[in-house]
Amino acid sequence: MNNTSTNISGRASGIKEKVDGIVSNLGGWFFFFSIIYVILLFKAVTYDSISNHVFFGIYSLLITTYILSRFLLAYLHKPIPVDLTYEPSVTFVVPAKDEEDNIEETIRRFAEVEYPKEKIEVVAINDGSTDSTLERMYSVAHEIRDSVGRIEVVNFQKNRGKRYGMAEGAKRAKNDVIIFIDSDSFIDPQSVRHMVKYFADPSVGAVSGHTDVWNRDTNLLTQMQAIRYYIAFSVYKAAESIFGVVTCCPGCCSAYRRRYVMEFIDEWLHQRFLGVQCTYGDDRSLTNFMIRKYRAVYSPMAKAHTVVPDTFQKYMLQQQRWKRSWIRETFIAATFMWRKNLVAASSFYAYIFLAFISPIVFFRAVVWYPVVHDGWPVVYLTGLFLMLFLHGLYYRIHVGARAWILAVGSFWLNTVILMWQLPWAALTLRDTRWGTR
Amino acid sequence: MYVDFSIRKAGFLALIACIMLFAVIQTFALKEGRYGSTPPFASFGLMSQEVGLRARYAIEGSVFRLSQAAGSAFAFLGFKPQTDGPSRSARAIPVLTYHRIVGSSNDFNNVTTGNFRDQMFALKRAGWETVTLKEYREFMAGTRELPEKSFLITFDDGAKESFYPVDPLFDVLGYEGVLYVIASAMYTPESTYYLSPTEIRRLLDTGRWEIGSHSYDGHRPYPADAEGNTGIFFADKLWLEEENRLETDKEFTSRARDDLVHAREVLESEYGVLVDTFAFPLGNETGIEGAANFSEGAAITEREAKKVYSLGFLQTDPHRYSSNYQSDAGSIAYRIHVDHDWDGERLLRELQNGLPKDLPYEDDFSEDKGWIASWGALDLGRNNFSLSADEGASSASAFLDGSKLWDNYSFNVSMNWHEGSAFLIADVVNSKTYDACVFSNGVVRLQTTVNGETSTLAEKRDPSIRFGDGVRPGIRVHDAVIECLWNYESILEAYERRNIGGVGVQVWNPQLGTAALTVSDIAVQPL
Repeated sequence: MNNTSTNISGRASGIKEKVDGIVSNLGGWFFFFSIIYVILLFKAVTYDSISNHVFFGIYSLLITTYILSRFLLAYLHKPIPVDLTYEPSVTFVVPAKDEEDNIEETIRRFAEVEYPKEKIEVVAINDGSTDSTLERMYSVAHEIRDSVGRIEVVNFQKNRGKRYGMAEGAKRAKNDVIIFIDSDSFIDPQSVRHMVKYFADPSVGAVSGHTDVWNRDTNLLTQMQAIRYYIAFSVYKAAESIFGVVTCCPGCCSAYRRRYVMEFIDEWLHQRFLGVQCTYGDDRSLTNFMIRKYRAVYSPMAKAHTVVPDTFQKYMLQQQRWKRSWIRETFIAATFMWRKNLVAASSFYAYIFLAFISPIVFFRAVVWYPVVHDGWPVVYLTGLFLMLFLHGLYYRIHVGARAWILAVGSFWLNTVILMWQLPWAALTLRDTRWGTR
Repeated sequence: MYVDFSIRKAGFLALIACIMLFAVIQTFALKEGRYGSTPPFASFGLMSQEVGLRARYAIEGSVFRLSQAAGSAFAFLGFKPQTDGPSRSARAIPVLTYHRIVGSSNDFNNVTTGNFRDQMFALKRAGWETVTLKEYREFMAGTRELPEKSFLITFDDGAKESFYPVDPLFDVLGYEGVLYVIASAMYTPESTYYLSPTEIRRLLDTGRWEIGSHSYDGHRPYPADAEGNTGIFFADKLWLEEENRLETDKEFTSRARDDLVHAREVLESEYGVLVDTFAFPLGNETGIEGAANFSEGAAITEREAKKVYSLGFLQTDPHRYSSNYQSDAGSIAYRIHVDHDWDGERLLRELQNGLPKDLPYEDDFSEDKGWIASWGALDLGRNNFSLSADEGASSASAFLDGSKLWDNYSFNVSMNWHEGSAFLIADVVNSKTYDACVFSNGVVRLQTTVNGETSTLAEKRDPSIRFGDGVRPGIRVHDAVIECLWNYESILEAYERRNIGGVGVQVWNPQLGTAALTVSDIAVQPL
């Protein structure tokens, strides 16, 4: 089982281990900071060409500042100790459609969490599955009924969509904290405590767990996604978490305070954008409702694993869906984010700028410039490579030697192919055909 | 705010920030100190090249030394006879001209890194060692002895590619070089081509380099007439646009002198070293033609250069011996231009052939021992010496490099001769100053040529002198006597010998493009 290693590393938090960890990674950190040094040199050296083109110069400085500041902020993200006296009751909500392969394992894990069993409730929603998902839900519910406080299986005769499932679960839940788990995600036993500990602060409405890729070793694509997941959570979400504005507490494993969710559950359920019912990006949307008034944070110790697409086509479709929901929710968040912390807000707006400009910069550097001025885009590609390498090294240091160099390839893919999905997603925003479930 | 800004984390970040700042500033300071105004990316490229080459040559150098040590050990144990005779003193010094050492050859002026490496290792292996300018000049003045295989290496223009690809190799081989700097060019801002003053200072600090003057600004093309055709700074009169006329002689002279003086002043004050030698830029006897509007221009420049510098370098040509002899010591010396396609073996042959040769001398032309064709075409293939006039010319001439110091000898050849006149020449000072026996069908003439001016000393009809295969003419020179030989017999003599020098062959036929002669072997015997 793939989670054994996680268990061990989770417990290994003694000072000696920590020192050992730092020493054994000294080389890695040295390289990490060397790359930053080279990036800084690069910026200093290309300052002239940057200042010659105000627009692209701003882009260049901004993207460097943005990425380096993510690592800086992630480093400053405050760890919170587990408070054993604070034990709110929790409800796991699992909406599922045609998930017969994974649903049993997903639910079985709720019985194994390290938490008082009477404080655990499970609501599993079968969203009109055409396979044996429902039967398996019943059988696993029967199997674990003594290990949890209450378990309920809800059956939609007809498929209604994930959002309805989540809302139904939230409404039926009786406990303080709702933990949404995707039907192909698996929670670690310690994760509940690491999520609920944040709710001691009444301003916190949502907590994102740390999700890694379950099927990492299936193929190159899933390995690359494993790296992207790791960086996206431990660097980018950690940086947002400092200010309590994690913009997406993903559906694979996130906790919400039920009382706050109830304030806007119907508004969220019937959310329309540009005149169309929103059928995708449910998690990002829910988080967005939450962070208007409350805080959303990231708990690096609350670990879960999720199954990711293992074919390129499925992956592209998923990314396209994510991009569209990103555009929609970012547009919405942009209307209130300016009221938040200055650093958080400026990072947020800077990222919007960067995301939309990067295809233009890429086109200019790699196509336009070589064709018109007959020059190789050495500076651009080197800069890009250095940034990607930085992420790869971070992964290498924290996760280990396996496949870390793929980070570079992974982010290349992200930059070169997925970059173009954003403008495409913007154009097809109202197209709902690819909505999940 | 879920931020942990503890003393520990803040301190760590402050430390990292300081290290980063320090590292970046230090990097720029280092770049400034080593590469001066060179742009950063170019500096990085130069650094990579330098590091790469130093590592590479360090390895190759130790392999080389190891093989040398092994070789001498074997020789010591008697497995192999020692090939070198007793070490001798130099009697002449060849000087090499390079420009840039380039990655890939794109013109005829620059040698590739691979060829250069091959050349230097070949010379080192054959026992050639570089000399400094000081050693060269003391040798020329007769106050210093040098080993026989000594040579001087010079690099013109002061380009980066004259230093960075070269110095690591010099370091390993223990060689030294002279850089001829265009004084104005080193101030080109952010140049990726020329060495900046910082780099030249570093070059001087290695102790492996000296510098000389290559003019202040005498390289760019200048307008030489109203139409804007360009001329050569040190050879042509320039066009004065405002006054709509060419320079006067006086203006040309003072312009040339000003540049020569200014270059020396600038270089000496910038680097605090003596700059007493000058490498003439293009246009002075290099065959490059500018506007050619002032025939005395080059000579005036040479005269003015003599007033400013104690030694000036011109390029050698097929009209003179390739090496510089003590007997010619003056204010002008000649350099061998190393061509872009020469490998190590070729350069080594050029230098070995230019070494002063000993008497007696025999040559069956099985290999090229240094025959230089001053004009016409020389073919040393098929173990013969075949000299023929170019199309549209009536004669051809060749002489033997390294024979300059010969005196008191008889020079006999065996040749196939079927038309025109065959010249056996001796006392060759250069291609325009020599003594000659001219054999025509039935006639022999003894003449002397000084700077191209020929005068007949004696003439004789002799029916035994006939065209034929394997005929044996000769010339004998000793003391003040010049004799012409036929079948080793003296048949004509004169007593007006003024120069000593080496040997050569000429052929002449008034019908254009037909003069030709084949020599199968020669022998030069001391008297």
